[in-house]
Amino acid sequence: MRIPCPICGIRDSGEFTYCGDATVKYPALDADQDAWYEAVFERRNPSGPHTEYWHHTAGCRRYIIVERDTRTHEVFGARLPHEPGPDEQAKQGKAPRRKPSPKRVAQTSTKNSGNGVARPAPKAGTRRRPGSKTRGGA
Amino acid sequence: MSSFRLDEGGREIDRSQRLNFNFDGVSYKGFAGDTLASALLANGVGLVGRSFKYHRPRGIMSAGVEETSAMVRHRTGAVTEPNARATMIELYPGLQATSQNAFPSLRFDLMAVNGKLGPVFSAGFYYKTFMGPLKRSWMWYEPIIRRAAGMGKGTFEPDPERYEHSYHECDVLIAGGGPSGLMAALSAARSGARVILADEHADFGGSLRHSLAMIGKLTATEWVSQTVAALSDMDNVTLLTRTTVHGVYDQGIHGAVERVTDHVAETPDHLPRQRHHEIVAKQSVYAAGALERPIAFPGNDLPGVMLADSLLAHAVRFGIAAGERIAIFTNNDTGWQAAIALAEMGLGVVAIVDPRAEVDDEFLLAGARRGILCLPGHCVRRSVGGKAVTGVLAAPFDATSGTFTGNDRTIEADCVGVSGGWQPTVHLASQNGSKPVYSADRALFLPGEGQRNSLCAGRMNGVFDLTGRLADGARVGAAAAKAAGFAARPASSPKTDAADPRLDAIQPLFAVPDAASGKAFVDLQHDVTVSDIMLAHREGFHSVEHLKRYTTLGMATDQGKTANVIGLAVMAHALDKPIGDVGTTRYRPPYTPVALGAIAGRSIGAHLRPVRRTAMHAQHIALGAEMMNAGAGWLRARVYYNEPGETVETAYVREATAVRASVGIADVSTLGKIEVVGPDAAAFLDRVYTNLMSSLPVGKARYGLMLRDDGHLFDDGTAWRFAEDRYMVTTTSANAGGVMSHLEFLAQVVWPELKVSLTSVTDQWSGIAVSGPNSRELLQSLLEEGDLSNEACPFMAVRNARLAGIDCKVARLSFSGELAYEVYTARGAGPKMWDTLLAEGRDLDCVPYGLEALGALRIEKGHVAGPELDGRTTLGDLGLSAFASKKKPFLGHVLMQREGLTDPERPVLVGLVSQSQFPIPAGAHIVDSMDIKKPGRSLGWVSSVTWSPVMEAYIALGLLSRGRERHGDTLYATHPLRGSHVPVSVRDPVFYDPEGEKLRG
Amino acid sequence: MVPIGSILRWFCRNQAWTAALNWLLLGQTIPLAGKPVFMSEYSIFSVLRNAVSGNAHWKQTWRKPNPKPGYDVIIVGGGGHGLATAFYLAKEHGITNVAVVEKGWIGGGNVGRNTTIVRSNYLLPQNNRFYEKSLQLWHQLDHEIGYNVMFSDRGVINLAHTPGQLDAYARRGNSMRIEGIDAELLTPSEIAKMCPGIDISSNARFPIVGGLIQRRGGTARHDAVAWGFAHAADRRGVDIIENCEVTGFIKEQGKIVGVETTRGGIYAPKVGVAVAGSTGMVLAKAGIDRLPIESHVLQAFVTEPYKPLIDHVITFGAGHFYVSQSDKGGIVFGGNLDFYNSYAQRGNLPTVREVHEEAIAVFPNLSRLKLLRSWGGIMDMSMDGSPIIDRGPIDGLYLNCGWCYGGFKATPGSGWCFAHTIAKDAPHDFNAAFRLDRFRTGRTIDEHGAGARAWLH
Repeated sequence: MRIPCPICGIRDSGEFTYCGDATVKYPALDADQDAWYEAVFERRNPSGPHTEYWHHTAGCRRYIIVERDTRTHEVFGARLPHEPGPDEQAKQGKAPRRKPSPKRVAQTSTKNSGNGVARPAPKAGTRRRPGSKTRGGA
Repeated sequence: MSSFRLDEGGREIDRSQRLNFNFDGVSYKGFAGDTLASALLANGVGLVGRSFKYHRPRGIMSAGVEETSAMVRHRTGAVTEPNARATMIELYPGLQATSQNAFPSLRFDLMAVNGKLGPVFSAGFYYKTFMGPLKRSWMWYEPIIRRAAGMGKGTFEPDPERYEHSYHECDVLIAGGGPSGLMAALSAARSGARVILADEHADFGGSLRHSLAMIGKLTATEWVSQTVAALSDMDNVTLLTRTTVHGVYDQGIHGAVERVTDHVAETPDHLPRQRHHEIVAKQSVYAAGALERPIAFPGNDLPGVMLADSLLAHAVRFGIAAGERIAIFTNNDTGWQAAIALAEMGLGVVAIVDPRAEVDDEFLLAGARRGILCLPGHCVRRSVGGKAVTGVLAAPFDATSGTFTGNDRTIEADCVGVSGGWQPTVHLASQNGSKPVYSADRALFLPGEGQRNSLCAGRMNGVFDLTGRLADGARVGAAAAKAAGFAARPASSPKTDAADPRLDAIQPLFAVPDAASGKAFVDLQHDVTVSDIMLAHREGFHSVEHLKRYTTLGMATDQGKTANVIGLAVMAHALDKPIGDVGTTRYRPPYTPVALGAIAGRSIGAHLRPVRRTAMHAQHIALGAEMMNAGAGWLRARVYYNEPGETVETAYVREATAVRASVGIADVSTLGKIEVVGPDAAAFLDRVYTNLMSSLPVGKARYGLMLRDDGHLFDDGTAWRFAEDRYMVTTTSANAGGVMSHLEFLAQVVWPELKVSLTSVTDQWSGIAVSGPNSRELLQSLLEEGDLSNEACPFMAVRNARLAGIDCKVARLSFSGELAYEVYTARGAGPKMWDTLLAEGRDLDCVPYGLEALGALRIEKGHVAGPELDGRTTLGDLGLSAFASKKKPFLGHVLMQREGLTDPERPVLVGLVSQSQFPIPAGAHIVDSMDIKKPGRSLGWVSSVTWSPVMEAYIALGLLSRGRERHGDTLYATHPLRGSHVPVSVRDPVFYDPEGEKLRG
Repeated sequence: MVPIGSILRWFCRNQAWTAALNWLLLGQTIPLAGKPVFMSEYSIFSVLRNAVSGNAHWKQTWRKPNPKPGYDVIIVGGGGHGLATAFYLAKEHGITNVAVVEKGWIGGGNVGRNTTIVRSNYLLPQNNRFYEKSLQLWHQLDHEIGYNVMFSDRGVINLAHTPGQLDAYARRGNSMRIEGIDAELLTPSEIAKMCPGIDISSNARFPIVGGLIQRRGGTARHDAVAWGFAHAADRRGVDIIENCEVTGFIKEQGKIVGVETTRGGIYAPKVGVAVAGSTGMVLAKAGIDRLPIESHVLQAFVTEPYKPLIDHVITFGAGHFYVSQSDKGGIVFGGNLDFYNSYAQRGNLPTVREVHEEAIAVFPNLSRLKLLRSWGGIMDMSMDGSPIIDRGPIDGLYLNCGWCYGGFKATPGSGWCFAHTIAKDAPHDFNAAFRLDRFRTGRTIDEHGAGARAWLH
């Protein structure tokens, strides 16, 4: 598998460490037990598009957010945390990822390396757990 | 079978170069350019192997990768390769091969009795028996069955040869160097794409290697060499022969294995045996061609029964006549074309049997002209022969009803060429996500939709006539280049005089009528017969996956390259379904078997994983250290043997005693070290450590604990404050990487609002622990200015200092419980500092001490370490609740309060003292029964053990349920594995200097 | 070599002799020792008898029934665990009006794509008690279901590479022994003797300092387990319905009362779900969209068949690698997960490379043997690495999942416990700890101490 690191460009997945579902947000340190239980233990585990953290451990050491399909392993793109995801961008009326930047390159080429089908925008409400605090969100 | 070498012909052999080779102990002669298979045929060797289950005699049935019968053991001794395909072994001087799976000999194999009991050994018979007479009888049968099963013999010797890995990126990868592959490469390369062309054979050309066609004005061979020359002149083209693209992975990653020296007698030192290529391709083109398919009829496995096209291949490439009297059994035009070509070359083709009533007149004429008995509207009933085929029975046949309509006639033949149609090699395309679709008119599966970033070319697209294949290759190569972002410049494709095989004229016939009546083999290697498939159907194994798993169809070393479609067809017939609806099993890597060593490459043996050595490694070796793996790849000194006859036990006791008596030094460079810098560094550490770090004064260090988000202990270490906005935190050696990643996650993702930066400095520092009552004296004597008195440098103080001309940081930390310091220098200065300390400390009897002594000292002090921090323990378990700050929330404190983590029954840290002269065994459990036979329930476990010089007893740390209430009790450390059961008294875990006067003194 | 001795012994056992005669001549089941015995329709006699008649009279191993409108229990998932559950519901609890509904073909999930290792060498008592129950069932399985699953107790050896690791293994072995489970320590020389070809040298990157063996552990023929349970359950009246995908759950007053399937609605007061990697997808149809489960891909590998080279199951302690040789002769091995959520039954090269490196590091003599097939299975990785066999999370629903790597060896035990939980509406002691709410309460069973990172278990 190949991951388009927004900092380093496309790299082999062997350089990265997988870090799980990126739609999960850490609650406040003093949030209640349920909030923490859900954040730490409960997963949507979707079959299809999945938003997930990868850590470029053998590269720039940045945590990045990768959009990937868990059925086909197709990678739709990657961004740094706290940058708007495709759905937020859509909300802001921007077409997903149009601003030219190093990572554009990365993303175009992975888009090509996909089957060319545009990434289906995830259903509203599936990305964020309703009511959950997004600390330090964009 | 009486195969022989023709007096002339054989475009790939060099008759001037005779080579000796040896098969089953008999030496033969072949020519340079032969394969083992062709050389055996040249010597009239028909019987080459025995089949898997029935041990039936088997010969050579093909001229390529699809070979399923001629499996041999190639080479001898440590370099033995079992299950090698004779058709893929290139002949070299002195080649040695032996037959497999036969006892006592290939000609007379006792296990052949299985064949006589055929019906008993029907599909799945072993699931139905071997269960009696007694319970667990299987263990009685299994060894016998294991010995009977298997194919080739491996070896117990390590492989002396080397394997390399090679990584490429390219715009267009082309798998298969036949006509369409070559044209695709030409087009893609001329369009400017970086092209890799790989072919599994020794030379490019694919089917052109035995094609008699003219391409333009050139012979096929000339055209191939011209095209290859053109390609090799372009510097954007990489040509790989003997290289099999075996696997397709995500985002265009392909695995390929290159057989670098399998074709030479001895691997030169500078070369690997094989090279594994990992190729990242923007676009890939699968031009893997097609394989001819046999037809199942009783006795179709006898030596001498071969694929029709392979007869032509052997004749054209190697000048081989596979028999004196060749009969052809075909249901399509390619069989006729092969037969006539063979006849033209002067081979004795005696008959052509074709179930089709309507056969092109020109074929019939051409056949008649050469005196070939042409039998359209006939079908083979079965073969005749024992250890080799001597003929076939054929009878009139009605294709519409699929039945025989007349009497048998015997055709005498010592070789039967069969063509049941063609199957494109869809493996790679299917691995890449396309599901094969059945094309009924041509009776073959084609790649379906769903391939990612790849195209197929030539016969894989169902294009079978040569001119069309060349054109298709040109088109696809250009398309691939375009998809990879280049302006397509398709190469112009030449015309040829090759006849169109007209596959749509095929009469689909996969097994002859009543094939089930005899042994009609579908999967030759695994002895899967038509009747086995009928049985699978009868017993309800209808799904193709069930069929495969129940009968083992297609699970042989050839992965059913010639068998699968026939199996599907027979099952479809039984289910009365169209073949397409039965579907295929999933194609998985590898396309052909790959040596494990090739995939492993160089990271084996001592090089399996990187070794990390501290700057003082050489010092430790010189001091007689026993080095051991200590996590995170580090090698650390376990003990130093500096007296004759010392054992680990005596050495660590000597070292620990010396530390407590005077002073010792230990290499602690492996501790993880992370600099935490920034205006919010303090706030950040307050969130990740359970205790307060913001209140830590500059110039001081503090012990700290981190929890996982689930509330369990994660790691412990110290935080040193160099400045208001600058900390260095240390971690356990094994956890350094994990802690760094954890902190980076929190800083980058969870609390980006905190201004803090993290840098791992583990490898930038050398660290030496100087411990013992005389440690201050030792350091003071090296100190250039200032002093280390209690006032100047109290417990937990961190000072910059200059010791013996070396700048360093001195931190007054104690793991041992003694007055102790940790001296950190730049990594490179470590050895000098180490040597200086030892030299300066000589009259103080300063000793180096290793991990065992380190352990002994910290156990006496009741300090926890790895064995206690096993990922399941909590602050409370280890008596560290005092470190849980009430003043602030910290990561993990919420889930730390879950009932399961605060249960009073949880095992907690205790000290244990052996009540006997015996050591408390490591890995023991704590029980209250004095009877080792009936230990009762485990109340806890022993985590760390040692002989305590201070207590003059064997002591241990352990975790014991309700342990604090049990202080003073006598329990038992039980170790059933070693049969030891030691009475222990439970006590507080701090054995040494509980008030801490020593370390503060 | 004919087992004459054994055959004689067999004939001497009078009861079996009459039974066999009767079976041969009348082909019917007869009371043995008073109580009616379910006699296997598979035996050397039936094989011989059918061979004579050209194998024309074998019955379907399991019927192909159409779904009835209702059952007492529906099991979703025709894998090893689902089929075993159906079998033990019938055998242990007399509940035979049971349907097993399977999306595709039975045994198509992880029971058909694993490395066939069976063991109970666990550290934590909640685990080793459960897996030991399972292992005991394995030892009697062929006779219990009348189908030879080729369970081979050839011994499972864990290699240790540092003194500390050997101590940790000792701790595990001792907790096994305390629970009455067999375990022994091995010295390097014993290991070298048992495993010819293994690299025992001191210049190995991770020299072998010892090992832990469970002799009663071993391997089994994975596909046969699914087919055998299907066969035995079917003959007891269970309907095994293939090509029948669950599309939804039928609820009445918040209680599950049946399932919608591609072959129509099927009603039952109790619905058990045993779908491993697909747990999330299936429960989502019941409105449960979050679980302490992630689906990850685990690759496995098999070589061409060779004559016997490796006689035990061996696991490498300084990485993650396990290997055994199938009765057919293939060297079967595997290692780590690929470490990313996946529902694709395929993996990638970094893991392939790592597993092969460790393979050759342990057995340098395997280097020239050839990889024949590789594949991937979808593991339902739980957040503490231990399974869930529990009621709920909705009334009428019963959940069996979270098997991580451990699913195959657990097959009979899981079926046995799940059947008990469904029949008695309460867990048995063996699975009492495998609660769904243990993550909330903090009573997790973290064998590796890896914490709440599903892929690290």
